[in-house]
Amino acid sequence: MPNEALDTDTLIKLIRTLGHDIRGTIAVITSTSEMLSREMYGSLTPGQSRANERIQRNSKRLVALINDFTGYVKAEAGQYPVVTRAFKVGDIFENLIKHVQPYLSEYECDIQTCITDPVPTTLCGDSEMIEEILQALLWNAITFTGSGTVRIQASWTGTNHLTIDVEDHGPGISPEDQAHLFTPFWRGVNRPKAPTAGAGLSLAKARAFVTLLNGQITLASTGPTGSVFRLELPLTPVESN
Amino acid sequence: MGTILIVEDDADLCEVYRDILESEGHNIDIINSASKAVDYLIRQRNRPDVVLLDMQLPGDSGLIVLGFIRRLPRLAKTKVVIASGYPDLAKQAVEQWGADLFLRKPVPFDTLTTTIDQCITAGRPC
Repeated sequence: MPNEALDTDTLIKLIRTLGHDIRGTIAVITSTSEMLSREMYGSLTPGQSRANERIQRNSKRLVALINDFTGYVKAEAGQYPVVTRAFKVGDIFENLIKHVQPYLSEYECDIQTCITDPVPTTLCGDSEMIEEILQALLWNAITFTGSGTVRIQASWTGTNHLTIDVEDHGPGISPEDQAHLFTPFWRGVNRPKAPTAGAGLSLAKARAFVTLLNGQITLASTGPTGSVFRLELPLTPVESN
Repeated sequence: MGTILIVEDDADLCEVYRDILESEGHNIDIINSASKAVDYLIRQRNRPDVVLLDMQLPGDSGLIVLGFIRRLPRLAKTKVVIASGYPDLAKQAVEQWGADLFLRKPVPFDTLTTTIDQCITAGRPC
């Protein structure tokens, strides 16, 4: 007799444990590879260096994949904890730039950020989830733009709505792909060939996070010279003393 | 240069931490379970500057070690850095149980060395 279907809690626990064990294993691979590239164990030939770079690049993809997968599943099951704290939009933008900077040499991509005046200096919300959502949108914009400019602009609507637009200069999104933008593992027809291109989970995870934060994520516009993704979140301003 | 106690049950990862941190001139001690770590902390006369602590250990959890360090006045200046593949647990250890920092596995080389350096500087008298 087969076992009864696993319940959601058991599945989430299994996925969480799997994520933990995979991260531990990759930690050894990425660190060892990083030490090889720093020639801590002796110098490498050009061929060994290229092989080592492939190990590093694909280890990073695997980490991103497991983080997106565990985050997506937990958020969809409503088991991702939302932790509210005071934060500044400017700090999130600064962290985003720091996060992507080491990889930008692979592209000729320039990132511009802008916060319009009425955005309150300090807001209250889960800044780590917001940062992960924006990381997904920013990576998407960078990989589709390739060489060009990506703009991130924050604005404030009414009394409690933060809007962040992420604008790329990619080839645009076909009507068929538009219907599947947030479908897990969907790979669009104009998918970039960059070696860092993801598995098609980051936007699905971003939308699952946005839903938990009672916000919206939409494709605001798209055309042959680029697309704009819009993140809208209800957030409480923190009064300054 | 400081003394780092690594509490981690993955032998390969211990070797990685050792190679990285010894290359930066630190003294390293490695323990692979919570009970052995507590025993080490009781017996060791010189306090470690930093404890790099995994949460998921065979037997007792890393929280036992964290709780022990936080209760012992002699170890008040020892910094505890959680390195875990469970980011939510690690975050909780900082926000609720008094760890100083958490690092999400896999920890990049520069993040590890910079974090350890900052902890050593912060834990020593000016």
